[in-house]
Amino acid sequence: MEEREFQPRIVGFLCNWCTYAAADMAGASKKEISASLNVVRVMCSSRIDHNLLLTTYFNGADGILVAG
Amino acid sequence: MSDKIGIYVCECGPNISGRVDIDRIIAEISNLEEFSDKELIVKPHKLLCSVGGKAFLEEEIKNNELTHLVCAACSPRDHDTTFINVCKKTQLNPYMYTIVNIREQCAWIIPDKEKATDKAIQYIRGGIDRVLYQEPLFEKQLESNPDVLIIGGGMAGLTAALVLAGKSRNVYLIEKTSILGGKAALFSEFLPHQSDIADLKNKIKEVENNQYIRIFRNTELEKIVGFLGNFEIVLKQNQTGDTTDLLAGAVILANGYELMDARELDNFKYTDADNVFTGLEIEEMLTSQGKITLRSGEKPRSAALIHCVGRKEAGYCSQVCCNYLLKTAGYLLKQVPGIEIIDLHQDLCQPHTEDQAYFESFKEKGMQFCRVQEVALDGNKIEYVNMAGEKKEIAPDMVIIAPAMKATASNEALSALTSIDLHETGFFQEAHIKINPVSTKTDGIFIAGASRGPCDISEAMIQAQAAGGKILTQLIPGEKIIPEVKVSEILEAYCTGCKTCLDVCAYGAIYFDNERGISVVNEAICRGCGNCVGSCPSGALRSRHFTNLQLYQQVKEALR
Amino acid sequence: MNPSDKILVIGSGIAGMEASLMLSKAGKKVYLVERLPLIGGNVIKTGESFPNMDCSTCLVAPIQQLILQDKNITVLTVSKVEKVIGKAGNFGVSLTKKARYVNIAACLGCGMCYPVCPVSQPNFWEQGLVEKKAIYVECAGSLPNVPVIDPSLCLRLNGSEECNLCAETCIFGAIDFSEKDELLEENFAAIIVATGFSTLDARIIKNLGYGKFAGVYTAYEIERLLASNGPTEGVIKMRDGERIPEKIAIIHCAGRKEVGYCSNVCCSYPSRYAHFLTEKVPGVKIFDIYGDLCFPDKAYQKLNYETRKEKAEYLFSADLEKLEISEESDKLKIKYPDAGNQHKELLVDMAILAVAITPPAGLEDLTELLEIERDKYGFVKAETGSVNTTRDGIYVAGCATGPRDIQSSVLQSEAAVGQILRFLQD
Repeated sequence: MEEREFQPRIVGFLCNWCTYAAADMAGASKKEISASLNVVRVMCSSRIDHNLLLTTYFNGADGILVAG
Repeated sequence: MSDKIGIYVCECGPNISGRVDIDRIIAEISNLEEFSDKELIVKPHKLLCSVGGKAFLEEEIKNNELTHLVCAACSPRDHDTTFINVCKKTQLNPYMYTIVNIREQCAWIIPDKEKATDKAIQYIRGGIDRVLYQEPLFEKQLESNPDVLIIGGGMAGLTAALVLAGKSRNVYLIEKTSILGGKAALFSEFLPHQSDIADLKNKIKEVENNQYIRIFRNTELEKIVGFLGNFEIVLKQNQTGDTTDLLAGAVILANGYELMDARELDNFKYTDADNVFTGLEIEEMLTSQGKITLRSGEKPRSAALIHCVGRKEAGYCSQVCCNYLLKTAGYLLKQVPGIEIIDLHQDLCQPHTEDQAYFESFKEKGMQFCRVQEVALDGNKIEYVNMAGEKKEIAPDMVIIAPAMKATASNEALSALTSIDLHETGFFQEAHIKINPVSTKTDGIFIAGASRGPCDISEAMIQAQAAGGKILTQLIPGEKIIPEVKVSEILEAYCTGCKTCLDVCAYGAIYFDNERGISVVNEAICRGCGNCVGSCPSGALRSRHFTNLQLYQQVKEALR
Repeated sequence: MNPSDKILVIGSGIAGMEASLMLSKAGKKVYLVERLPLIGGNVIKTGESFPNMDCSTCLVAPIQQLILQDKNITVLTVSKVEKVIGKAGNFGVSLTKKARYVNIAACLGCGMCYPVCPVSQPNFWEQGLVEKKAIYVECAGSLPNVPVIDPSLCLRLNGSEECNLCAETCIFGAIDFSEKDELLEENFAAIIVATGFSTLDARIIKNLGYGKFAGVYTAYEIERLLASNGPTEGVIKMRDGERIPEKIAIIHCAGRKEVGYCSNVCCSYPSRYAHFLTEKVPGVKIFDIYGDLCFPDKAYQKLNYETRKEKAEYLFSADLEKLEISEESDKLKIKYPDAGNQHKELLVDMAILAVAITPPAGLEDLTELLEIERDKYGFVKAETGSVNTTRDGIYVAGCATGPRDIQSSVLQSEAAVGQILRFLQD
């Protein structure tokens, strides 16, 4: 079987006011960030519940980042 | 009507087009199988946020009768509002649009053009899926009452009343005692760089004579419900028990402070018979009898000032004591020439530009300043350890102490009535300690003066003007209030009445309907953070515009 | 338009921005005038601010965005007040809007233009720690995110060469060498002065060796070294770009004697340094040498207690004015009288001076043309318990009227708005 490089799939739930803004600033500074990270913007990281986390894992995420 | 989705990809000059393959994006998005039952219009544009770009979007929305709009462009923090404003000019509800960030968090961070293009396509698919699950939302307008209730008739309350009262705005000033002026009314003099004592008397007169200010003496707050622009208030007269109902749009809590009782501290032992006084007691004595004496009526020949009493136990510096103890020393030096005064302090806190020169003027007057590590008091006997570690004992005729300023019991009572938070020190908690210092977590309830933390008279006045300023900008007579639309809502059938959401809401926006046994969101207070949604065990709460279904779509596409 | 609907705010720091947003909310038109090419003031220079250590950029960026998007607020960067006539309710004001040479409407802030510029100059916004080009933004995340050309250094604008490199790089055609300074005449009902602060030139404090010894830094340099958008992206290294400090001394009250007052914030903000430095430089030893500690808020002392308990050693000096710094091979030797007035010595790699806050550059000229008084230290004189200056209709907020923290600056700007709206109602 052909071996492929492992490309993890990570979903990041980022708070609109802090971490999402930080990710924007990283972008504006042209920092390289892995394409593995898929950002979902929320208005507050406290919005994230077990439902969302489990659904995300069931859909095949290798990791979840909740940052706020 | 069938779904007609417009997807517009901004090239942002070379910023996006230089780092992702726009043609491939257009081609792949146009031919997505899962949307084959929908009508997709996919077009690139050089610069959507430009004047031409906005006109282009407006035309596209109108001419194509779009039902959904996706803008793949920069961060929502840059141009979300721009595109919302475009929607507002058309038939499309602005909540049927979404922005997809393919610049900051895609094109700019992934150097490989192919990978960046894949990512952009993935994000845009997420955006299309999301927008299909979005619902139109509509703004509401609420009537508002411009009148203001001020709790506390001290310097802060008086100052705020005068800023606010006018032709189109009544002020209700309630004071627990029978006199206006608060603690400052006990003072004989203010510090030289503070307002003059005559100002206070003028202020009281002005307030009493102002036809738009109604004063309630011996009165306390009994009940308050509502939100910015619409508070229903019940006041209670202390002596008669009579109640008054009022309506107001905003409330200022300016209920002042008290001093810590130093005798609660292990190392401060004295009785009312000893010649130990607080700085405030000296002011009272001077105001009532015109001079400072020992309890025997004799003149003191020596005195000690003790700073920072209870500072460690309270956990904060009260910031005003260094200055006012010097002021009392000034009274003594004037009254009893040649009096020996020793000043025992841990630190000198002189936070205003004028303070240091004031302090130095006392050094010149022959006062002795001594920094101590520890100090203990027994009657008028003082034992202290200086910075070199030497233990000393003195027994001056008079001891004047500066106990920490602390919150009064009414802070707790008001916190319970209004549901605004107390800081761990017992003072009121600001909405944000730095950038929103007189607001609280509840819109429409403001704090000013020493009930929000130790401050001097000048600062209390500034805070009162600040609270006044906040109200003048938020409650404009005749103008309606438009609350946030993207708020939480309760699906009544699912609510089990567990009240978890009431505990987690930081804004006090959820109340419990006892009759129906369910929680209710007050949309005028809710800010839409979604904390309650995350904590509801039965899934009865829903975040408008950030619903589970909408977020699932983004997650699903992210992991495809 | 009726002047009673227009307010002039001078200075776009936290105080000026808060006042502008509030006035706009009350339906007033605001002209926000800023001498620098970016808005935000000094707060955005600090990475995280006391006492709760929240990220300053996260705190201020949403406010900056609101300002730039607000239809009631006209932001005039690289601008200056020239002349003021009239009286409260109707001031006639002349303003110079200096040429930026970059069209704000056309520029996207992609940053392609400055790498190609052949001219370099020190970046004083970054405390001179790095260089910038003749066309520049002061730091990553500057708002408005549009560069400016320094006409005194630009080869083309000062006429020394036909350089066109930036214009050739910009495909939006945003570079405009023909832009001219503009003179604007407007009428305003009231004016708020919110011009912020400068810091004492630390070279004046002779015994501390700033400018002489490479290991001596001002606190404002350290702020930029600690900031993730600063010149080292938050990495702590000595000036040689290699050495990592093992022992650091923070010297409190630097320049207090020279200016004659306590600067209010310099006990609180260094309390943060030990937290950041011990995190960024594992094993580093921190010493704070102090005389008095001043924490003028209910929440500030706690931060200091936490710092002292775990992260820094606080050394009391009976006479800070006698503290002296000298160099000994690659280390700094700090001599000071201790608590018992005994001579003590401490060897460190880096010394950080919590340097005094002074009136902002240009305040003297501004107060003269506004005809408002200054206090004996050079700050704008305010009435007691108020934000009124000595001239009706002109108000002051923030550090322009003396050193203060963010909270107190915001309080004053809110109070100034209160006074203005009160005044316009009558």
